[in-house]
Amino acid sequence: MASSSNPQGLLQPLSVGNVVSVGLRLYSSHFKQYIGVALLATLWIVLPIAVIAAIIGFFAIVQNYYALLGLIIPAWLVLLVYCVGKYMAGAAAISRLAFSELTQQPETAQQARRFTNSRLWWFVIMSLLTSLIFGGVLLAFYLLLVVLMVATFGTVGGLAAFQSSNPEVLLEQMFSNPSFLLTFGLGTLVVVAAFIVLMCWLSARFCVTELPLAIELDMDGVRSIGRSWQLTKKSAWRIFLILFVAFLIAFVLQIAIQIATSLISGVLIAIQPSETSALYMLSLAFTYISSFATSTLFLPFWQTIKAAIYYDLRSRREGLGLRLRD
Amino acid sequence: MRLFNRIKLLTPESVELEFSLAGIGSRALALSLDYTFLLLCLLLFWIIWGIISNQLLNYLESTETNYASLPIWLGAIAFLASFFIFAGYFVFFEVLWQGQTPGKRMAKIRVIRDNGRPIKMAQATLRALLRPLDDFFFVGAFLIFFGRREKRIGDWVAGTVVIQENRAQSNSGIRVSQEARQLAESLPQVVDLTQLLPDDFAVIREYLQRRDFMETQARSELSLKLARQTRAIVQLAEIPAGLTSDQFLEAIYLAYQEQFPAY
Repeated sequence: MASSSNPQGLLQPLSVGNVVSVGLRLYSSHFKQYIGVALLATLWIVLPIAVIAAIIGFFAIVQNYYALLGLIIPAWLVLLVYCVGKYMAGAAAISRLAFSELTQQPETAQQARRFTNSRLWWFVIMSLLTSLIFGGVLLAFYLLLVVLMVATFGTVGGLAAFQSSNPEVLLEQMFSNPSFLLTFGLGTLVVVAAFIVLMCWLSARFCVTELPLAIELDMDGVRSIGRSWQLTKKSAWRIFLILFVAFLIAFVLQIAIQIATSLISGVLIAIQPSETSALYMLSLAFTYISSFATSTLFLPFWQTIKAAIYYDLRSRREGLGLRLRD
Repeated sequence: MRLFNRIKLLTPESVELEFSLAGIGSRALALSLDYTFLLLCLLLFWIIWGIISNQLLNYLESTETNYASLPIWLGAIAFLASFFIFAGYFVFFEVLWQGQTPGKRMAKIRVIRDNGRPIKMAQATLRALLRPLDDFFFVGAFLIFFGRREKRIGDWVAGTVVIQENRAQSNSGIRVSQEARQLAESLPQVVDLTQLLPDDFAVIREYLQRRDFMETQARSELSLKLARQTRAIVQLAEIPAGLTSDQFLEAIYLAYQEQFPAY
């Protein structure tokens, strides 16, 4: 059982830095397992891209049978949604694996994948819902912005410009007014800052939406959003700080990878710069493959950190792990 | 699986100490906080230096002396001072706060020497001077990330490690209600508190400390579960009537603490 003298027992909640460290530690100690699941998940995203490329290629060569498109496009859209669902279920399986490790009830990759795959369509619905929420917030913010702009414009007498016979003169007068420019400039600054703060807060509150769906029994996509909203309450800025630190580390890793890949493709191009050469194609292929590899590599990175965030939230908000001897 | 790297240090007195290493997350957090503070310090310095220089040049202009070489000197001094602020920030705090800077303090980590002692001026200076080398292409970050002892170049040269600061087990922040106080007085006569292990007590204390942050429903479920288990462990037939599970746990906590003050 967890003991207070043993920090590995995780009786206490994690600090901001430790959430990130724990996520990375899980990733590095289960590298093969997680990267395997991530590879399968990312391949599902490649499938619809490959299919659409094949379709385009087919019509470019045959230049006929365009009526078929009416059938092919809807079919392709269904395939796309299914593949995105597969991807999300795979990504969620990594979080599930990491969480099961933290609660010391480890699962196999197959078990985790089977569990999340059974909720594939819920993952799709859930991500649609969260996109709608984000879109709604953006729209509301945009409308607010328009109202504010019109109001500012109106108060300095800008509306008169519409009635005047010579609007250019009036507008020019207005824009040369320093106090108007100052208010306008400061106002824009405040609005931009408010927008950034809102987005940071919102992404922290929505960062573990798929975790309850991936982990808890008796859960669906809609309730999963509500539950993650409950869990992240009072912790938004802590989560934001965690994401920020994780982002810093990801940035450093990304730069290292970037340097390595651009060196290799640079060398390939330098050897034979002609556009039709095989080497050019090779370097192009290399660029695609390396971007595919990078996204595969970073998927477990974020999923394990999210699992650590979720674990920590449950420990703080629900006392997960606080139990007397069995 | 261990979630944090651990090291055993041997002190000069041959005492073995075990520590959890800081981990890449806490170190990245501490560094970004420290660099933010440092940036603000430097910004403040450059603004003040700019104002002083401006005033000085204005004054010299009025005395009509030849000061053509002065701006270069002012700039050179400013650059030199910036470097001293950069290195001095870390040296000053790490010596003053025994291996902590403001960022490290917030991230709850600390630098110590390889023999477990607090760092001195020499180690702090070496770490600070080698910092630019570690920052160059994030060499230090990779060394911390992949090294078993999580040492950057500065740590290797100075002979230091960065560890997590253990949170002291305190009994602060626990409210005990009046009802619980009354029950706590009579508890030792009716139950066998020796059945409760220190680990159990730690869990109860942890719950009482953290309950305010918990979600209402989850909290009441957990409280009930812990109270039932505790009641069974101390062999009490029934939780006294009219008492909530929280109050019962508070009473157990208080009675246990009075009986075994060492915990």
